[in-house]
Amino acid sequence: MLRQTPWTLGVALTLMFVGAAVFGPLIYSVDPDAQNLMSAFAHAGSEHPLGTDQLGRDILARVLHGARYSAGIAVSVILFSLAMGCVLAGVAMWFGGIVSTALTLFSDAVYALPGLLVTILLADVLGGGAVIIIFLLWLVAWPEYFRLSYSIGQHLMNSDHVLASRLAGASGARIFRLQVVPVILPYLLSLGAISVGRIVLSIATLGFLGIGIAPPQAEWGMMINDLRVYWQIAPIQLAAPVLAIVWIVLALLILSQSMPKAKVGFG
Amino acid sequence: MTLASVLARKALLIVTITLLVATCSFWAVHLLPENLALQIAAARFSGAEPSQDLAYVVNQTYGLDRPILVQYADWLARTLRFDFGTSLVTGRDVSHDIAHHGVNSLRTVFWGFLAGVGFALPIGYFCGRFADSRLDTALTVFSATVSTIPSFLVAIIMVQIFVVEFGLATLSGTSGWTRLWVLILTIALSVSGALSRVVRAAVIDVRGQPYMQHALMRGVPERQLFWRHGAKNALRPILNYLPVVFMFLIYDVIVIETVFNYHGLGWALINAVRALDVPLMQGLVLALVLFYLCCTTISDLLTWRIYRQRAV
Repeated sequence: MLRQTPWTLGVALTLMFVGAAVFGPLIYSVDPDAQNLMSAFAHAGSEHPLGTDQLGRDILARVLHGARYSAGIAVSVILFSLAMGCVLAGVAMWFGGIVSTALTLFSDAVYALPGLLVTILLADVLGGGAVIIIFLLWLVAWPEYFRLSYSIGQHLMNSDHVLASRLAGASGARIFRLQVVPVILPYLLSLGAISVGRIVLSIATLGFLGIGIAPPQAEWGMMINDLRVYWQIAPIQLAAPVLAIVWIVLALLILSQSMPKAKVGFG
Repeated sequence: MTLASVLARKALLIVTITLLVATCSFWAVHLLPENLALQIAAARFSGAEPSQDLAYVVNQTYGLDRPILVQYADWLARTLRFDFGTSLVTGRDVSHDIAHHGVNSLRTVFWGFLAGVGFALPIGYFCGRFADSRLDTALTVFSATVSTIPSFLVAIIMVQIFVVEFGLATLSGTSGWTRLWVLILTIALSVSGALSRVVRAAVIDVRGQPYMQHALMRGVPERQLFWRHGAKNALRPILNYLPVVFMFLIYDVIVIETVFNYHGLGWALINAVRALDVPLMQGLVLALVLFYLCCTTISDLLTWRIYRQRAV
């Protein structure tokens, strides 16, 4: 039972965050971009639960919309990478030979590229915006998934139990469904959880640097950059996006580390 | 693997990546719907309304009226010679700017990395040696905190504490230790966060190995045993992790230099991006990527040197 505690904690923290990102802006329907200079730096109170920023925008609304922005980008990047990585791994395993060598070399080259640099280089040239950021982060995020699913898949395909079921007459699809997916999935999800956290940090960094994002957009890194000079008069306003980042990254870290996995004997 | 094959693999990787980056930035710029010449004109003669005449001049200067494939081949050839042309904003040679900022960056990155490893090794060792003790828990919380908060935040907090509150360092000038030590400490903190966890896991793993347990039971003193037989085995996963450390080092350079307003490659890159100074951006990104690849090559060579007897 004790071993389950971190897993439960990770799931609970993540679910609370997802709930806040999905339903938060619906329940707390204050416009995150509505400026009101008369109430700039309002203290936390009944009108503004977390106060307001230097332009009088509601911090709680901005944090919730920022959650939606970051989580939306991070989850899309991971889903696209997951799809691309698995499909390419499947292609490499199916054809083998020169195709798999070429794909491995190519993914190694992309993997050896510091990804954020490519995003910084191209985000503003391509015009910025969430779609461009997703595209650029995806461009460099997929090799991890390719490498993981290819190495586990390769190992499974050569294992005795797959051979046994093939001899027993099981079809390829059946082997895939019963013997490959259940083993690979926890590994991919665990990697996915940790890279969602990493991408949230990257998005905050991009926002902080002001790259690929246009100002009215509510984004945590940008909020921190705007508010950091006012930290003495607006400590709660500054702490809100910081805590949001720490919350989700920590939750995903716990989730990924404690995810129950089947052991694959890597020889 | 022989030394030659290790080096050949790395050289191939470096050339591939250089071409990849060059290709990406070329097509990104040239496939844009807006006229590149007008953009350059706008950046170069900022203030003046970009007009068709200016665009014509720019077209002539940069050879933008040639067929696109000719331009592409020319671009690749020049990239492989590290000739990026001149900055659109300052008009200086890009390679000159890279050399100038690179020296500044190298200084902080080198000391920051050394200090980070210097923190991570003892912290990780003691965590692993006394795993699950109070010390371990405390240090785990510390390193988890450092690796979950983004590095720009660490930098802001460091500036706030050491520069604003205590006045122990300055934020102006480019050299001198009063300027550099906070920067180096920030990089070191950021490096040591994740690295100390890897060291811890490696130490725990080695100490649990049967050959260690056996020697312990036969009465070999623990400390002597670890340093003589365990250290080299524990080092391997740490060396394998170094490329990840270098990757985050590159990101930290960008963010931390921007926060500290320190004129290195990262600071220059962010400024070039803000001004849409394409040649400078491309040169700086390539310089950073190549620096990263050099670091990973060195760590690979080190791994090869230490473990070559056992390499298959």
